[in-house]
Parts: sequence; structure tokens; C-alpha cells
Amino acid sequence: MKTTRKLRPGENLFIYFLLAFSLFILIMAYLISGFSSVSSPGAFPMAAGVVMVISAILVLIGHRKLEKPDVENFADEMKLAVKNVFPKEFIIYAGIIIAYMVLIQPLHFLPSSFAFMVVSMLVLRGSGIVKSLLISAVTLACIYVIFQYFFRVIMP
Amino acid sequence: MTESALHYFFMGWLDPSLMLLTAAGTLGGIYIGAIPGLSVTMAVSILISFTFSWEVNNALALMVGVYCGGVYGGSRTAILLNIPGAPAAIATSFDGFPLAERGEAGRAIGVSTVISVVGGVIGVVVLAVAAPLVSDLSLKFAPRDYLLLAVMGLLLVGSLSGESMAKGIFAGALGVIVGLVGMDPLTAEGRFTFGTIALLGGVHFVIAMIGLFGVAEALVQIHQIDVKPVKQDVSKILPSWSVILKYLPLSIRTSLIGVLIGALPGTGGDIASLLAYDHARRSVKNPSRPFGKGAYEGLIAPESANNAAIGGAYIPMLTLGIPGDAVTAVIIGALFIHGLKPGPMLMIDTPHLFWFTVGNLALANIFLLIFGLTGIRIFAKMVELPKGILIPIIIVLSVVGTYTIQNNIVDVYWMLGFGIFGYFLKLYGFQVGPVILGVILGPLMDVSYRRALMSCKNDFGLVAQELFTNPISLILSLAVIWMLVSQTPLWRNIKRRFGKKKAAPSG
Repeated sequence: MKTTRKLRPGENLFIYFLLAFSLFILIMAYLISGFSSVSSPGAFPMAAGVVMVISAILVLIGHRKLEKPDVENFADEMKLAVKNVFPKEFIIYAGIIIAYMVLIQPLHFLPSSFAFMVVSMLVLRGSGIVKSLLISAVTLACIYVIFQYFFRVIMP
Repeated sequence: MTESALHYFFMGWLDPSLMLLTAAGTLGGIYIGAIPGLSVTMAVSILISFTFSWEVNNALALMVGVYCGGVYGGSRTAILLNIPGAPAAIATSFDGFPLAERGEAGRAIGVSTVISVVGGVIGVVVLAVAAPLVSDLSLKFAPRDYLLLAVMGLLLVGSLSGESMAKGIFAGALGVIVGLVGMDPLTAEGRFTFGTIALLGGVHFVIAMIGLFGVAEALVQIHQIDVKPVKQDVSKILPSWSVILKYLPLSIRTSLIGVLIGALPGTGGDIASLLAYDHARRSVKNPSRPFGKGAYEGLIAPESANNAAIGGAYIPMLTLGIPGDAVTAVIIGALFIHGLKPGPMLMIDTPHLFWFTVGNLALANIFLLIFGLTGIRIFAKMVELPKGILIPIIIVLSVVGTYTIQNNIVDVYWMLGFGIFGYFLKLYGFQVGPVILGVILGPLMDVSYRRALMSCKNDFGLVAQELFTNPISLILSLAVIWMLVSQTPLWRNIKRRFGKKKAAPSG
């Protein structure tokens, strides 16, 4: 059942980060009500926090059996990790998404979404300029009609 | 008596306007369910204000249609885009989306439609035949039994965890924590709120769902932006009788799970479909394909269960006035508005209501079959859109869907945060399924665990004793123990060496 695989670059670092996060969660859970009672509001969160810490440690132990990624040193591994996790397209597109979500309120829903769809279709090479303008307009019209008229949902 | 019951049953079938309303509701419900962020609960709530001045039968017919259509509709987007349109369709995406990736989206939708109707009909039959019995049973469920049910659901982590069990458990526990953010329902204390009011309301699990499934998936897809989408085979959509018959035993079992979970107050189609999926994974020895890679069994189990849960949810509502899930809670509100008195006297005061609802549910299932099987080709073709077009649409839909839940832009940022976090998790071999499992089941576990303890004056021994002395608890406890044992290597060892090795079962 188990296939031996290589460790992904940066995988251990990510798990260490998750472990630190779990410890933080555990402390926060402890702060809710301490060890006051087995049925206190903090009891179950603490249990979940403990499970997170233990399972993160187990993942790390499991990783020791796996082959290391093909890199010379830590700096190399980081470089490779950045390349794998943040390819150019991802950085650009994540930037566009974040810009969209920031602009959605000042620009209102329709203009910002229209701009977002057109730009992303062009960036992602989904289609040409005319087609992307058209698809965006039609999609947004559908969304707008369904949400605004049938459901009277306020748009951002 | 039976004659009048029959008369009430067919009321919706014989009156053209009632029939039309049920049909319109079902059709509308399918599309409401398919759009992430538009939930059935929300649609029915809006319908209350909309149908305020209508006659009560008309209003109920429309709501029943929307309810049935909506629960089914969630599967559409789950199969096609890996974004469950409704929480009840989360389990559908586990095997539904892999099917679409194989080019079998059309067939998957066809099978899920027919099976949904099978589940729906079983739910209606149980409602009609055994409502008082089931409602008695469901009221006997104590907090400890809910705890056991949640544990059962959480054990599904074992089968969803992908490459490593430890990663799955981590993801599940993380989801539990996310689910617990906000005000503690028992003491009204804030948990993980960091002193801010903004977090006191908690993180709505649909936000986590849209972020983790929709946006995270879209971000991962960017890695393969130039990969051509899979051609969808739409030549064979209607499943043959032999296929349906082959899966009938499984769908009957999972439908019964659905009815019971639906009838339990506070649990609905989402938990029912997860438990049903788990049941299928455990009970089906030779699935059509490995689970998680496009097994039809993994599609059938949740789809039959969530529609069966509708009939189940009506059981305590009609017999006792206790809602079986969120939608029936809203419908109870509607009954009040129309001057009826939901409660134990409802069936005595207004006997027609019971058979009228049963008849309407049956009718809605027929319409579900008709509307569900039309238009599949166009839907399936949607997946063939180039990723460069599909991804922006997914993101805009996710944004709108998130925003509509509480009309709060902060939710959209949360959703994006979940999306990006989910992206990292996915890249490093974590599955997002367990996270959402934890978000849904965590709060249920927390509350029922504490209620169970409190009812025994915080005495663990007493709770443990009750787990094995109460008949319902005993059955559930044994089931949990069996699941644990059969999941660990212990069972295999026992089978192989006949008790040579003994070790404590561990979670």
C-alpha cells in the first residue's frame, strides 16, 4: 500500500510551521479555561490541540524514513521549494485575486468582477480579448440577475 | 380514515396549481443547490416572506419542491467543479469530481440523479409508514449518542487522509478547531476570538468549505493551466436498469442511514451523507474503482442518504414539532406564520398536513427525476471549458457565494485565507476533506461530549457505564469499536495470526 516517495522540497519546514501553529493553538485553548473541569469550554479545544501537536510530530517522524529531496543544502532546498510552491503563474494570479478582493468594495461588485474576469482570462490564456469580454459580461449578467433579482441579495 | 389520507396524499397531484408550484420549486431548487453559497435554508427563508400572503398549501408545496431540488442540486457543482454546492454534497465530491476528471461527468450526474430519487422515495416511504416509530427512537438519542455519531463520522478521516494517516488526523483536528472558533453555545464564552467581536460569531463552515474546495482547487489548477481539459463522454447519461439494480442494496442501506440521521434533531443531510460515505467505504468490498478515485459507490452512498434525510427531517417536525434540520426549522416558522401550531398536536389538529406533505414530497421526487435528467449534457460540457476561463468563474462565484451568507466582506477575506491555506495543504499532501469533516462534526462533538459529562456530574466512569448499558448507546459504541478495530492493523494481525499478537486499539 505504501509507496515510497521523496520528500517534497520545503515539506519539513511546512510541518514545523504547522507544529508551531498547533502549539500556539494548544496554548490558546489552555487559556480558555485551563484545567478547571473536564467539561469546561476549553476541554475539547485542548484535546483537539493535543491531537494536532501529536499528529504533526508523527508526520515529522514518518518523514524521517523518506528520501530527502535532491538538494545540496538548506538554501538550495528553499530555492526549489519556492519554485515549486510559488510558480510565476501562481504569484501573478494570486496577486490578481488579492487585488480583486481588495478592490471589490471601493469599486463595487460589477466593475471589479468584470475587470477581474477579463484580466484573469487574458493572463491565464483562457481566450482572446473579445471572447473574454463576452464571457465575463454574460457570466456576470447571470450572476447578477440570479442573486439580485431572485434572491435580493446585496452585492458587495 | 385511509380514504381521507389517500385524498390528502393526492391533493398536490390533482390540483394543477399545486403541482406547478412543486415543479417550479424543484427546478429552482436544483439550481439554487448547485450554486455554492445559495443554500436551501436561505432559499426557504426567503420564500417565507415571499409567500406570506399565499394559501398555506401553496406555500408548503413550493417549499417542499425547493427543499428536494436544492439538496440534490448541490451534487452538480460537486461533481463538475469539486465545489459542493451545498454542505450535503461534500461527500459527493470525494468520488464525483474524480469521475468528471475521467470524462464521466454526464454518467455521474445521471447516476446521482436516479439514486437521489431512490433515496428520496425511501425517505418518503419511511416518513409515511413509520413516522411515529422513528420519532420516538430519535428522541431517545442522548448527548452521548450524538457524541458517538460524531466520532463515527470523524473516523472517516481514516479513509480520507490520502498519503498519510497522521496528516489526515492533523487536518481533522485543525477543522475541529476552526469549527470551535466563536461563542461557546453552552457558556457564551468566546473561544479563539482573540478578544475581538468579529470572531465571536464563529467561522461559518460554508465559508471554509468554499475556500478549501473552490479557491484552493482553483489555485492548484494554475499549476496545470495548459493541460487540456478532459473530454466529457456524454453519450451515455441514463444509467441502465442493471446498474441501478446493482447498486440498489447499497442505496437502500445508505438511505436508511440518511432517514435516521435526518430524523435526529440537529443533524441533517451533511452529516448523513458523510456517514453514508463512510458506510460505503467499509461495507463495499470490491468497488467499481478505488474510493476517492471515482468509485460509483462513493457517489451513490452520499447522494441517496442526503435525499433520504429530507423525509427523515420531516418526521420529528410533523409528529412532534421538533425540526430535524435547519430547513425544517425554517418550515416550522412558516407554519406558525400561517396560523398552524407545529407540535405534538399538529397531526391531531390538522391531520391533512401530514399526508399532504408526504404526497408533495413524493411528487417533488418525480419532478426531480424529470428535471435532474434533462440538461445534463450542457452541464457536463461546462467542465470542458479551458481552465483559463473556468478558474476566474469559480473565483467570482466563490466570492459572491461567500458574501451572500452574512453580507460581510470580511467573510470573503476569510474564504481567501482558507483558499490559500488549503493550497499549501494540498501541495504538501494534506487532504482538505478531513478539515471540513472536523469543521462540521467538531462543534457537535464538543457540545454533546460536554452535555454527556454534565448530565453525569462530570463523572467519566458514569458516562462510560451508560455507553454500554443504554441499548442505543450500546449499539453505537459497539459500532465505533468495530470501526476502530477494523481500521487499525490489529484486526489484520488477529485475522492472520489468530490472537498471537494483542495490542490496544488506538485511534
